[in-house]
Amino acid sequence: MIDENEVFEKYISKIKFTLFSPEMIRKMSAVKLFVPDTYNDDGYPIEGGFADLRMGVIDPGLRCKTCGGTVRTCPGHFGSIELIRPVIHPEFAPMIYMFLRSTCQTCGRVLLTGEEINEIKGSLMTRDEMISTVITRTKKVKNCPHCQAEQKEIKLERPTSFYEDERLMLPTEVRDRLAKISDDDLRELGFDPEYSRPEWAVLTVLPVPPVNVRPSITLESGERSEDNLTHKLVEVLRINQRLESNINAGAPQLIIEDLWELLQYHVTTYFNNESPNIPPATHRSGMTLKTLAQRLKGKEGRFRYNLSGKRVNFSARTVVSPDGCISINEVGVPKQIANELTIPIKVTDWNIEECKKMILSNESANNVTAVYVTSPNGRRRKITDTNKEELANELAAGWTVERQLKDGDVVLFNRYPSLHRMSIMAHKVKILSGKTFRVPPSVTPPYNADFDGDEMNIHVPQKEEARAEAETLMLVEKQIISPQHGHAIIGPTEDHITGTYLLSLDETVFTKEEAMDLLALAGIYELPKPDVKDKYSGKAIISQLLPKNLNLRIESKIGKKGSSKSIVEIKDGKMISGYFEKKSIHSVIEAITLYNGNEAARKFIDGIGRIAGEVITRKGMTVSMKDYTLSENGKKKVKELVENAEKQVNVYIMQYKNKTLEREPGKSLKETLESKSVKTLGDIRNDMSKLLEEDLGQENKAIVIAKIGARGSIINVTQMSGAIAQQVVREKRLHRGYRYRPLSHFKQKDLSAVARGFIKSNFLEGLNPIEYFFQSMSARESIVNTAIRTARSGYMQRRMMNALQDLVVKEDYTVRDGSGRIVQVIYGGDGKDTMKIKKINEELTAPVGLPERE
Amino acid sequence: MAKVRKRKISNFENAPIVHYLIPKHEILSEEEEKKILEKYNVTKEQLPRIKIDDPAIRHMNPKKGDIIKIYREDKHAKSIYYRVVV
Repeated sequence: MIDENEVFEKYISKIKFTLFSPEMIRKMSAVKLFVPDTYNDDGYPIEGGFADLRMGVIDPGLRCKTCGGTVRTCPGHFGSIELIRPVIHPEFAPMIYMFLRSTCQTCGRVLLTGEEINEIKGSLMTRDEMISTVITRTKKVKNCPHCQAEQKEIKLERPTSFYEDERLMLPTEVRDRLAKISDDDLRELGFDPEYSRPEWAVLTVLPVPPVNVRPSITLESGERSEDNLTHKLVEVLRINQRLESNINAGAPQLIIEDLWELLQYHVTTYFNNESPNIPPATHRSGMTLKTLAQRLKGKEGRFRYNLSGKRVNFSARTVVSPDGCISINEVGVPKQIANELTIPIKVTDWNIEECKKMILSNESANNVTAVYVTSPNGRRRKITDTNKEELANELAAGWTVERQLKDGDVVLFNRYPSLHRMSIMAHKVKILSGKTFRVPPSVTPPYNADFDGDEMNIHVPQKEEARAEAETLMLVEKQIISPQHGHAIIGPTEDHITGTYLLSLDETVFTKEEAMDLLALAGIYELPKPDVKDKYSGKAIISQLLPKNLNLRIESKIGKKGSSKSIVEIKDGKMISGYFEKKSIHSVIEAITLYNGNEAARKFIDGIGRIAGEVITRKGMTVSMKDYTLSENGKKKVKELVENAEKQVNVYIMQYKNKTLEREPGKSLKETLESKSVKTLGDIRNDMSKLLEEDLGQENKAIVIAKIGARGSIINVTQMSGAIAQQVVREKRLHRGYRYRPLSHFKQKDLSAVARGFIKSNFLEGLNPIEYFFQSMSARESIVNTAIRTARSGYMQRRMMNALQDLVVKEDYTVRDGSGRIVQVIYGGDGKDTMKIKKINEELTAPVGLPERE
Repeated sequence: MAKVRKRKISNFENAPIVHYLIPKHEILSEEEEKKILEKYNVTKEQLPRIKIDDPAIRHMNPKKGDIIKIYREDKHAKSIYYRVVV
């Protein structure tokens, strides 16, 4: 019996895969089975049957007759069946075939001379190559070079029948033939005869797996249902015994051979019930049996289903939806999920009263309830209404109580694919009604989550160490700065950016009531002095959120360059000038993180998020068709722009045809034409975006949201209001499809803009069918590319992770591997931590980094 | 089977390569070696390696076990790297 407390500390130095020898199988065997049955009428295991107690136990209360263990402690022991006639192991048939063909049928030597073998050995080949050469060379040999015996043709009919010149070979013959091969010859064929002799692939004794490999189930009716493997083994033994009695009775050879073949069939299907050319063995109901190979193979097999695809406890998964009111450190967890997930709490003298309360409370009362208690002797009991009083009385220090999740518990929150370290972060639980996880919109970017049906997982750390580690290392606020580039990746997104922008506008002014409303949302209950007569500017509200020691000057894209509007200036925590857009908000977040720490930055993000959400709901920011409709003059200008480009391309085409086009260095004339056309047509986009910005005006909402980084880009606007412009496939203007033209609507060799995928229309007015087709061509390419790119970069990343996984930055900033070998003398070549370096503004702050080192 | 022909030793064998992508390489003296090994608390086996016939150091006629000091420099930082000749 295995003692659970005994610790084995041994390292595996090597593993060798070999064949089982018959002696080995017999030695391993705890029982020789001789009864083709399992339990007797009383439901007790029959001795010598397939549930024999010497092979281990599966019924509670019984003890194993080999090791004395119980269901939980007995590892199970093999039994065996002595096959009265040998049978070929179906999975080794190809190997046997190889041996039969590469050795002499009379003397058993390899069908090559010593010189031939030495020649192969002398050549510069790997071991595997040598072995395969030996095998291929022996195939051609007609007469044995050692005894000159003529070699007959041997055929294998899958799965297990061998023919020698059309005559069926019995397994005994095959076995004798294999046994004749000498040890030295086996080595030439790549075998280690000490561990694996080929004749062992012809079974004379069949190992029977322990009962816990093939447990029987008791049905509700009290009937026992045996495992598929047991069924199969019973049949093997039954046929084996029939064969034995027939042989002993001196039955005719024909009958014996028939039974022998039947035995072979059962053994074959026992190993693999999907062998080719063999009808699968079935249940009485006609269902095919799942035998050994079926257990391991395929998607639902042991490897892919159970080993590569292990499921985890203490986790939950559901759809995510946004909640702008919770902190970025929090996650909204549905009540149902919180009740299902548990955390074990050690009972101590200090928390025993609390634990008792948890045991006694019931689920309908809205407080945390304990679900299980475990006493120090390891007995785990579920708390029910009937036993809770008793358990609460019994409770003492040293016990463990498993309680439901409550507000403030630390959990890990994850969205697949985990490409980042920020793809799994620690959040604090906030139990909410509803059935979705609530995610603060500001943490959406690191997870790359949106709310169109995304699902996310949570995991509940079970130990104090795990929880502490998660909280100090993985908490959302500690991940605000990305280690990739040292910039903030957590912060306002979309409407929050618009809200912050509106708040920062010079003309934004609030009454006292409004200002109080806004600040109260961020948990600030003190009003500053009114700065615009008796009212409050938006900047004054923002200033309330900023730390008092913050000084910052950032150039922003909004407003004229160099004007006071384009420079966001913060002095001693007071916002003086400038408008907030995505970049400047992020710079502020980075600065706060750097000078006031992660917690301060988190508070700022939480506060600005709540206020911005309220500002945008009050003030609003909408885009409509009107925002994308150009003035008549604007339309004319766009048309002009496109026409000019077209004309220019036509000029190039003329020059190309006249051969007056000047060739660019390193390019053929045609390539020159292409590159010039592409450039002309490509420049349209830039010119058009400038034109549109002018025509729509800086006040236009579509332009505004694009400029402040809340949603969309200028390119989107040009495609909707201006023209979609050039489409490309494989970095070239569209040209494939028909002969010398992309579509049959053009003349052959038409090189003009329109015939090469230039789209004059815009999305607002609509495309003509040809343009629609062109647009679909390049859209298709980009979809295909993203699919390929994700797959390829995923694989690259995987290989890189495997190569780098155990590298560590040591105390002296050297990067070392597991054995202490130096990989980099100084981390990154400069010893700097990306997350900690950031020049905010050279005038106001000094660069921060790790101390200079020699 | 294709045979690998040994490259003829060129006349430039003993000349240092001057190229902006090849940083300065230097063989350490014995005391310097000792200092470096002590500083990083490593044995020579634990240092990164460089082949004895590496074009960047070939002209210095290094011995096996020598430590090469490499003065690396790029846009952002200067650093020093050590390799053991193998």
